[in-house]
Amino acid sequence: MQRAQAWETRLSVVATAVEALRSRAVAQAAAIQRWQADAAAASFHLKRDAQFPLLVCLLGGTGAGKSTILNRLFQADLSAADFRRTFTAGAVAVASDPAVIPPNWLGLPAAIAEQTPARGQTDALTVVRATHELLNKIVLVDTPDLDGDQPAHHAQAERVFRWAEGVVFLVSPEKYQMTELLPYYRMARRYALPAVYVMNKCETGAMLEDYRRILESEGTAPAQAPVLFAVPRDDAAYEPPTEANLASLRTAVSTISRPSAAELQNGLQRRLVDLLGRLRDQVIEPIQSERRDAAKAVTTLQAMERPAVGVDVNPITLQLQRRLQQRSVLYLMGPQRVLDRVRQVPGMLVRMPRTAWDFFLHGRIPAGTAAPTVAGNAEVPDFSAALKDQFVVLQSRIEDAVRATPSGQRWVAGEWTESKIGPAEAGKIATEELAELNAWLQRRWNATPRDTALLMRLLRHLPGGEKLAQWTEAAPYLLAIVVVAHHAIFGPVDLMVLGGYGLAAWIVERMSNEVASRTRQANRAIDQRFEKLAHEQIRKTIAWIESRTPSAEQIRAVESAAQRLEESLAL
Amino acid sequence: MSTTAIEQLVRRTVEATGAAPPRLLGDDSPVLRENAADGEMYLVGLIGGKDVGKSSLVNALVGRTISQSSSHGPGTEGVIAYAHEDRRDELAELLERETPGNFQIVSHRESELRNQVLLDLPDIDSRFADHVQVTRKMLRHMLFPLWIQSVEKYADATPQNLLAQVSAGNDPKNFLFCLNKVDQLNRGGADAASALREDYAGRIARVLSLAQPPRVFLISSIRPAELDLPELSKLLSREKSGGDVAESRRLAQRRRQRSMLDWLIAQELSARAERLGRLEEEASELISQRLGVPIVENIVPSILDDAAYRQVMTDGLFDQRVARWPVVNILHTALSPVRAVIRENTTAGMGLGGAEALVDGHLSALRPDLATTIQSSFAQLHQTNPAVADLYMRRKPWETMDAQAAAASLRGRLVETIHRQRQAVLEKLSGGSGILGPIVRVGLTIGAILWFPLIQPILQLMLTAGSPLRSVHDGTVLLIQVMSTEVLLKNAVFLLLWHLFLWSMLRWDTARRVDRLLERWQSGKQPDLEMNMTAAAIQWLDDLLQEIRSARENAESLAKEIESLRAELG
Repeated sequence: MQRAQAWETRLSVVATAVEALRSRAVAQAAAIQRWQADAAAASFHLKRDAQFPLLVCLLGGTGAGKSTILNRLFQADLSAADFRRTFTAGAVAVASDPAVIPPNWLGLPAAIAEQTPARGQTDALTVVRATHELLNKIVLVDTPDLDGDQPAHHAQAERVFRWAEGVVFLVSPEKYQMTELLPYYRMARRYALPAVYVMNKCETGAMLEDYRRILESEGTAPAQAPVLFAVPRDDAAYEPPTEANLASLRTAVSTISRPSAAELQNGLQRRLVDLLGRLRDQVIEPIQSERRDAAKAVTTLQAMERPAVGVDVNPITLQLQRRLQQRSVLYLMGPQRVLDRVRQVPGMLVRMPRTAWDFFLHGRIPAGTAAPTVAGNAEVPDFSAALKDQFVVLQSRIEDAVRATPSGQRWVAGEWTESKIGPAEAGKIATEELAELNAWLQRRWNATPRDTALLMRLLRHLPGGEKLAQWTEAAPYLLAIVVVAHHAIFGPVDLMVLGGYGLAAWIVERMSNEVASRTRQANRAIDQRFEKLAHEQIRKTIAWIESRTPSAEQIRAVESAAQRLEESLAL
Repeated sequence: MSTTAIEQLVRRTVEATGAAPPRLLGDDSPVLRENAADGEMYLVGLIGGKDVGKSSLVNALVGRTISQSSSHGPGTEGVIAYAHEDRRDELAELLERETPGNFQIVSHRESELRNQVLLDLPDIDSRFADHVQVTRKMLRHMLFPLWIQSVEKYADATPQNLLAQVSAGNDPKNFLFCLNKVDQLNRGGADAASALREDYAGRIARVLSLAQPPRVFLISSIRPAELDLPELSKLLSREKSGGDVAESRRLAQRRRQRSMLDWLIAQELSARAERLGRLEEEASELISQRLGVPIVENIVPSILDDAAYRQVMTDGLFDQRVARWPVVNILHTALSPVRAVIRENTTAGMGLGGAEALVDGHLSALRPDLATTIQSSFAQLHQTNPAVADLYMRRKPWETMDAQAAAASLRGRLVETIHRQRQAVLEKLSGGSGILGPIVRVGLTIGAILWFPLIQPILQLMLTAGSPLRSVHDGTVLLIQVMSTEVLLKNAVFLLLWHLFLWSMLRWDTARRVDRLLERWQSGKQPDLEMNMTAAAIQWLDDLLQEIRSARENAESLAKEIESLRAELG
């Protein structure tokens, strides 16, 4: 019994670990509940004190006559019997004293019947007090049917069997071949439950022999030859032998006793082995496969690349850049301005007849033939929408990754929206960054370009320097005149002079371009923040998926508790 | 509608919704087959659990022992058929097919029972699985199952489940229900018997969802003269008339159709169609707002307005037309470098790359680019509507690759349209196969070359001089006059200008004709879908939503067919 205690302790550890799984293992909730009910029964058996009366249940199909036999055993109407079927709906326990029935037996409340015959109720244990010599050492429990059209009855009968310490199998000629009883024969033998086999309404001895053959051929009979009893049908001429008649049955039932301690221990051990087997097959294995699916999804998500942001704020800043350029002294005095003008000439000339013709014909200038649009006037894209779109693309990718596993499809069908960050968050990035950029642009709009400011500062020290700065605008034209004059009078101008002039202007222009650097900065900031948000979304999804299944630690806890119980069983 | 048509409908629904097909269509379902080729013969079989007294009842009905009753052991293992001598072969063939070698036919010569076959069958709750299989197989041919139960077993779950399955393909009116062993009710007597009859009938009514509990024959095989057994045996002692059997078959067929219809109705296809309709509306709104408007209102018109587009259209035709003009074609070739330069300057380089470069150039004006827009639009749909994931199984436009493929398809369609247009322009406008045309062309070119420098001056000199050529000297003088540098230079410049004029007239005329043709294609008055770029773009937009639309149309047509089937079956 010490071993039973040790087992009980370890089983309770397993049960606690399983209980911890339950809240997260939604898909396995039913299996866990069934297992827990059986574990509670096993725990009851492990803790059971040998001095209490044995709890014996009557098990059989509809109409086999369970309640009738019970009444006939006690020679009193204790459990309500009826010719209508599936009449008994719940367990009815007959005891000499209700106190001998352990509290919360079956995990159900006990209700003492006010009157007899008592009719069993679902979800309660009806207790009938009776005085009979049969009840000196046992409590007899009537059960609902195992094979009727009420599934609740089967569950109730199964539950009573799990909690019982002995069993009386009751069949009839019509029912002794029923397949529903086969697993119970097997379990009664495995778990060392003392069993009595009774055929009610028996008509011939041959039937009883056939029943005995079935019990033996199915390999379900106990090690020693099964004890069979027969109760003849009222109108049958058959009279069972004395050792198998009702009186002997009464004696046999009243003397059902606990098997030897060793056998009992073996039975308990097998019960626990089965319980562990079921825990592995029906609870741990499905949870682990879900866990694997979750791990697979998480790996995919972790390796997932975020989509490119595809946002370039350049169009916003182009206008300012252009403006600053045009306000820059260096641009004004550099050759760039002349080249810009010159470059537009041939196109305009070539297009002129067509444009004129179209204008004459349609009164408008077609879009393609107009002068190339100035970049600054281009429509500014909706960056916020673009970011939102990219974020939604990311979410779609995440969903596809999760859907790749069977469990994933179930998860997505559930409360999937909980795992999402609203795309508006992504839109906010653009809005915030652009607001900042706009503020900066507004500040800069009327400012003097850096190079111009520098030049002004230098020229201020020269007499008349400020005037000079204003004249610089004429520099390219002056230069052109100088070059032409030089060419006419002294021959070709050194190209190096012109090139150097252009290059210097270009370099200074680039150097002074703070707008471009601000643009890059805004782009980078948007990119980084989007990346952060994408990672956050992936993290949130991973956390959500993790929360769908019990954690690896929880499963390990159950497994190791089961392992320890198994080890102690093997000793 | 025939049963095959309904089965087809069921299959299509399964395909459309992915639902599990109704059990009655399963290969091993114990449901009456409609195509069971039994001819005029019909089967009455006893269906029941172990030891409920099937064989005893068969013996009682037949009046002699044809089947061994057994209260223990495996019981009846195969089919025992009681049939007319004439039907033996036909029946043997049927039984050989369904349960090879596992049957026994007892024949009789009662002419009143020529078409009726009475079957005794194995237990339906047997622990021997092959016994159960035999009965399930025979149920596929059994028009009149006789459900027999005992007072002990009538509430068992197994027979009820079987009854529920069988009733999916057979009308309860064809069923007979017997409650055997009523003699065992030793307490309560007649009251108990009728209470039990009520209880059993109530359970059957619940399983079959009948409003009215069916008739239950209370019998006792060991007391054949009592209770309802005489009535039952009278019912089975004469065969049913051909009309009755046909009516029963019709009822069974109706029931089979009805159960399939119930299954179809339970699939809620009209709700599905509505859901898909809403999705389609939402999707087409989103797609047209994000893709349709920019493409149809900006991209396509900008392509059409592009000078490069006209050039692409005109070039081939112009080349062809010029080639037919003798001297102008040389000029045309000589001018080609100049034209290339001009074109590059007017059309930002697109004109040289042909239709592909033209379409690419305009599509690249979309911000963000086309593939990204497709991708993000579908991602949006995918996120707001989970059904999209199931509809777009083959291609997933919210993924980069598929979005790019879709974008490439638009480009391909536009390019193809341009190619088609170009081809059509060539076919419609190249013409020039008349007789007059070549004469005019040669006259205007070769003729001009001959006329202005040679014929005209010679004729002029000859006619103004008033005398024809009289001597070699005169001829030589004339030749020298005509061949002088001055005259030749003048003529060369004039001829160049003349041919340039021809060339530009030709060019202007070609452009005019092409413009007119393009105008016609693009205008809404005479829409030529093959040639219309807008139509191509709209077609492409439609194809993007093809999956949703076809699913919706499919669901709608199924819903309509189901509705008409419902009206037909009443």
